[in-house]
Amino acid sequence: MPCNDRFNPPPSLPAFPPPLYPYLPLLLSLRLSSLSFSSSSLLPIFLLHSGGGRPQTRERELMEKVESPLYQGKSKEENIDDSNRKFKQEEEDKEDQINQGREEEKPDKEATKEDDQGDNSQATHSDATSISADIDHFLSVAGSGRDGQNQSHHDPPEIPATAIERSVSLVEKEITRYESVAGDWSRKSDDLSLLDAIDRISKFSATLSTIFPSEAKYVKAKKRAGAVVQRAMSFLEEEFRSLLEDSISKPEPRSKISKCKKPNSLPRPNHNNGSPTSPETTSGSPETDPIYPPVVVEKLRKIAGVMIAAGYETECCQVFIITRRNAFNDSLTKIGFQKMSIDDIQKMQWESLEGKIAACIKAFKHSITNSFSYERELAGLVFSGHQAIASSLFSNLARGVIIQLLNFAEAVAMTKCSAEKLFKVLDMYEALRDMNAEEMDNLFTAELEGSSSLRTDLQSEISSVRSRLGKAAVAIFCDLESSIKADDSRIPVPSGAIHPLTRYVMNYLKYASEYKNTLEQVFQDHQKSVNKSSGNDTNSINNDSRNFSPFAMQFIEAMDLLDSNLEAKSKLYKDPALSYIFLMNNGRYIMKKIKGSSEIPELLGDSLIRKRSSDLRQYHKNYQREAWSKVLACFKDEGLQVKGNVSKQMVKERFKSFNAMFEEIHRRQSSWVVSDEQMQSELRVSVSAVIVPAYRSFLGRFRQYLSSHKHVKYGADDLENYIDELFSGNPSVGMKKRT
Amino acid sequence: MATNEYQGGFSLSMSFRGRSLLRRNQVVSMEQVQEQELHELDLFHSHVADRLLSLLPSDSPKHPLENPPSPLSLAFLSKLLDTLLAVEAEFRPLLPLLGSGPSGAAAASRPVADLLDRAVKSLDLCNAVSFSLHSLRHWLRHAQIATSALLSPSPHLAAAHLLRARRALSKLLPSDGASGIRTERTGSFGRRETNSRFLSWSMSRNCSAHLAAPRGSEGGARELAVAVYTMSAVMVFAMWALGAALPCQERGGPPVAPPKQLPWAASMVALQERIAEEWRRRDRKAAAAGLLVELQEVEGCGKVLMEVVEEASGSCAACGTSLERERAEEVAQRAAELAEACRRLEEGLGPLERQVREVFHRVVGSRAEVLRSLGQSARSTPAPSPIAS
Repeated sequence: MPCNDRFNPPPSLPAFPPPLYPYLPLLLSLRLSSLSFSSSSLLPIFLLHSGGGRPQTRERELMEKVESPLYQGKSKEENIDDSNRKFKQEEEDKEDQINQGREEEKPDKEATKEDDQGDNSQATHSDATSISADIDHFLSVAGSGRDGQNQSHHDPPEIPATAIERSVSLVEKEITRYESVAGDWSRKSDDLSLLDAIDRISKFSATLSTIFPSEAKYVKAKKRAGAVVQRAMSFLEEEFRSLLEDSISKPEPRSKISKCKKPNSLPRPNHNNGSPTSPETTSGSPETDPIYPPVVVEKLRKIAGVMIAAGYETECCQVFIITRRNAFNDSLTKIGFQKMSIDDIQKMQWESLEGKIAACIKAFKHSITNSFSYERELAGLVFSGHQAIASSLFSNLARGVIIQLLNFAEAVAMTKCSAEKLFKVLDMYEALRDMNAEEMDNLFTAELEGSSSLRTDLQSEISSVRSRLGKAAVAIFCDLESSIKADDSRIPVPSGAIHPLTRYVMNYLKYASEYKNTLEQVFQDHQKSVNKSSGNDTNSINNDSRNFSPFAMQFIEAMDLLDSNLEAKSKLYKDPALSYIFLMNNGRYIMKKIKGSSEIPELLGDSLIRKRSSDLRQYHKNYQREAWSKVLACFKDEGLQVKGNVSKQMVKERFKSFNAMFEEIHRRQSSWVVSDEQMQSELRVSVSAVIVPAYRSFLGRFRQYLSSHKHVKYGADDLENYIDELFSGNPSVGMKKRT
Repeated sequence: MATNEYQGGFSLSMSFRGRSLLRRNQVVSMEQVQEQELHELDLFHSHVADRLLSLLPSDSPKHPLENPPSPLSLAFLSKLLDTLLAVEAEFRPLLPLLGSGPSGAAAASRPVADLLDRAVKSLDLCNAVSFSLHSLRHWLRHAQIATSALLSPSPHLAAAHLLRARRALSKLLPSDGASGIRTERTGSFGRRETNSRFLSWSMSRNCSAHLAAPRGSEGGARELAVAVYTMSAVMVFAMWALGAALPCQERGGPPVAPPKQLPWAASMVALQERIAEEWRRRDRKAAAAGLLVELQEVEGCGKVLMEVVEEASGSCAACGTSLERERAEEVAQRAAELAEACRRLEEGLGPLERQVREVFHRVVGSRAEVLRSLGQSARSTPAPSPIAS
C-alpha cells in the first residue's frame, strides 16, 4: 500500500512510511540541486533507513564531492550533519536555535559527516557527473531497501530537532540574503538548489504534520519549519512576480522559450505564418512580443512547482495571472489599442477613430495569431504537470482580452452610420469572421470541461459582435443611397466636366467592390433585418432581381441613383449640347471605373454594361444633333435659289451665318471639357466627319457664286483644325484666321 | 408608506386610461389600431409600476424578525436587472410606434435622444461592472488564502499560517486607508498593485445625469414619449444602483426623481431612497469601495479576522508556543465567518456577471432597434440632449 502511494506527491501522504529520522539530513540536504523534485525522490530516503547503514566509504567519497568547486559558495552554508548521535546530543542540549555563525564556523567538520546525497534526483545531468554514480548507488540501495519493506507506524523514530533546525536555518539564511530586494535571487542566481531546499523543507514539514500530527517532541521542529516555509513562500512569490515582470525581453531570432524536453517548445510570438491577412508585420515591429528566456521559464516552472506542492497555488496563480494580464495589456497598448469608453467612441472624430480601429484589428489579429498561443504555452510550461491550472489561467486571460477587443468593435458598430466607415467596419468584420471555430479550437483545446464552455461563450460573443458589424456595414452601404439622393445642388459643374459626386460614388463603389465577397455575405445575412422597414424603392432592377445577389442589387441601385441624379444635374445646363457632354463625361468616367475593376462587371452583369455603352452612344448622337444640326442646315441647297437661279446674296448670307455659328460653337465648346482623351478625339473626329465633308461640298458648289472670297473665311482643312480645338477646356483659344 | 404612494400612482394610472378614452371621443377619426396602441402604452406603464413595486419589501413581511434584504445585495441587484430586462422586453414591441405616424418620432425625439444616450452610458457602466466583478474574484482569493490557511487542521503550524493569513489579509484590506480608488498601477513602470480590486476603467461621467421628463401638452404622442422616458428612467436607475453597489470608478449622485404622476414613480423614489439611505449609513471610504452587502461583509469579516490574527500572532511570537486554545478557537471562528462571507459573495458573482452581460447585449440590441424604428438606422442619430453632454 505505501508503495503504491509513493508516486503521489506530498504533502498529502497519509500512509507514508515513518522511519525517516536517521537520514533526515539527507532529506533536508540543500546541496543537491535536483531539477525535479517529487515524492519519488523523497520516498526512498525514508525507506532507506530500514535498509541498514551505508558503507563508510560512501561518506568519504561524498565528503570530497562536497568540496568540489561546483559547490563552492554554497557548501559552507549547506552542510548537514547526519550523525544520529550528534543530533540526539544536540537535542538533549535543547540547542534548538542554532545560530548561523556557528554553522559557518564548522562547515568542514559538518561536511565530513555528510552522508550519501539524500536525493535520488532524476536530473543529475545538471550536477557534477561524478555524483551520478553515488546517486545511482544510493538509489539502488534505496530500491533494495524498499523491497519487502514493512513500513508500519508503530515505531515512530526520533527526529533530531537540531538537524531540522540546521537545515531550516540554512534555507532561512539564504532567503534572508536575498529577500530584501525582490528579484535579487532570480536575477543573480542561476542555481536552483535553493528551490530544492525549500521544496524539501516544505515537504518535510507537511510530512511531519501528517505522520506525527500530535507528537509533542516534534512540535518545535514543525513550528520552526512551518514558519520558514511560510517565509520562503512569500519570498518565492516575490521572486516569481519579479521574474514575471522583469525578465521578459525581446526575443532573439528563432530562439525558443525553453530548451527543456517539452514536446511543445514555444515558438517565437512574432511568427508571421506568411499569412496574407497579417499585413501589419511591417516596420516598428511591435509584433515581437517580449518573451521569457528559457532559463527564466525554467525558474518559473520550478517556483510554481514548489509553491503548488506547498499548497500556495492561489498565491502563485494570482501573481501569474495579474502580471501576465498587465503585460498583455501593455503589448496591446504598444500596438496602439487602448481601452476607451463606448461613450467616448461615439463622440470621437472619425479621423481619430479610424486609427483606433486599425489598431484594434491589429491587436486582435496579433493576439489570435501570436500572443494567445504564446500565453497558452507559457502557462503550460510554467504550470507543467498542472494542466487544469494552466488552462484556467490562460482561458481567464484570453477571455478578458477578447471581450475587451469585442467591446471596442461593438462600440464602433454602434457609432453613427457614415459612408467612410464602411471599410473599417468590414475590416473588423473580416477579422472576427476569420476567428473561426478552428482557431478557437486551437486556442481553447477541449481538454477540460471549463474550456469548452468558455469557447462556446466566446464564440457567441464574437458572432454577436460580428453580426452587429455586419448590420452596420449593410446600413452604411445602404446609406450611400441617401447620400446620393441628398446631393441636390443647383449649380452645374462648369464646362460639363465630371461631377465630384460621380467621382466620389464610383470610387466608393469600386472600393466596396473589392470587399465584394464579404459584402455579399453580409448582405445575405443581414439585409432583411436592416432594410425591412426602410421600404425598398421599387425600381427596374428589382423586377428582374432573380439573377442578382442582395448586395449586387444594392450596388446596382446605387448606380441607378447616381444615373438619375446626374440626369437631373444635366438639366441644369442651359445648352442642351453641354448637357450631353456632361452626361458623356460622367458616363465615360463611370464606364472606365467599371472596366477598371474586376468585381464590378461581375456585379452588374453584361447586359447592364451593354446598356451603359449604348446610353453613351446615344448621348453622343444627341450631342451632335443638338450642337451641329443647325450648322449642317447651312449647307442645304434649299433656299439658295431665287427663281431658279442661285442667289449670290443668299450664298453670301449662308457663309456669313455659317461663320458666325461655327465661331460661336468654337468659342463655347473649346472651353468645354472632355477629359477622356479617347472620347475627346472620338467626338472631334465624329464632328469633323459630319461637318467637314458637308462644308467642303458646299464650298465646292457655291463658292463660285461669290465675287469675293471675303465671306469664305475657312477652308475645309481649317475647319478640321478648329474642330480639333474643341473640348480642350481652354476658353482662351481664339479664332485666328488661318491660311 | 410606499404602498400609499403607489396607490397615488395607481389612480394616476387610471387617469391615463381616462385620457385615452377622452381622446377617443374627441378624435373621431382615431382608428382601432391607435386605440390598441394606447392600451399597450398604458399596460407598459402599469407593468413597470408592478415590477418596481415588487422590488420593495412588502409591508407585512412573512418573518417579522427578518430584515428586508438590503437594496445593495446581490439578490436585490439580480432582481433589479431582471426587472430591467423585463421592462426592456415589454418596451420593444412599442418601438414600431416611434416610426409610425407623424406624431411618433417628432414628439418623442427628445426622450428618444435621451434614451439613446443613456443606453450608451449604461453599456459603459455594464462593462465597468463586469470588470469590477471580475476583479472581485481576484480580490476574493486573498480572503480565501487567509481562511484556508487558518482553517487548516495542523495546529502546530499556527504561526506559519497566521503569517500567511496576515499577508493575504493585508492585500485584502488595503492598509493605506485612502478612500480613493486604487488604480491598476502604482507607478508607470515596475511593480503593480496586486490588489486587483480597484482596477481602473475609463468610464464616461454623468452616467446618471439629469434625465428630462417629457413635458408639454396632451399631444397625441405624449404617452409614447412617456414610455420612452420610462425606459430610460428604469435603465438609469438600475445602472445607478449597480454602480453604487460595486466598486466602479465613476459614480454619480442618485438620479433625479421622476414626475410624481407617473404610475411607477413612487416605487422608484422609494427604492432610490432606500439605497441612498444605505449609502449614508456607510462612510465614504466604504462607499468608494462599493456598497454591495456581500462585499462589505467580506471586508468586515476580513477586518475582524485581521485584528484577531494580529493579536494571535503577537502572542504567538511572545511566548513562542502554540496558540492557547481559546485564541485558536477565536481565530478559527472568525476565519470560518470570513470563509462564509466569501462563499456568499463568490456564489453570487458568476450569475451577476452573466446577467450584466445579458443586460449589455440587450441594451445594445434595444438601442439598435430604436434607431431602426425611427427609420434612422441609416441616417444620423438624433443629437444628444444638451443636458447629457
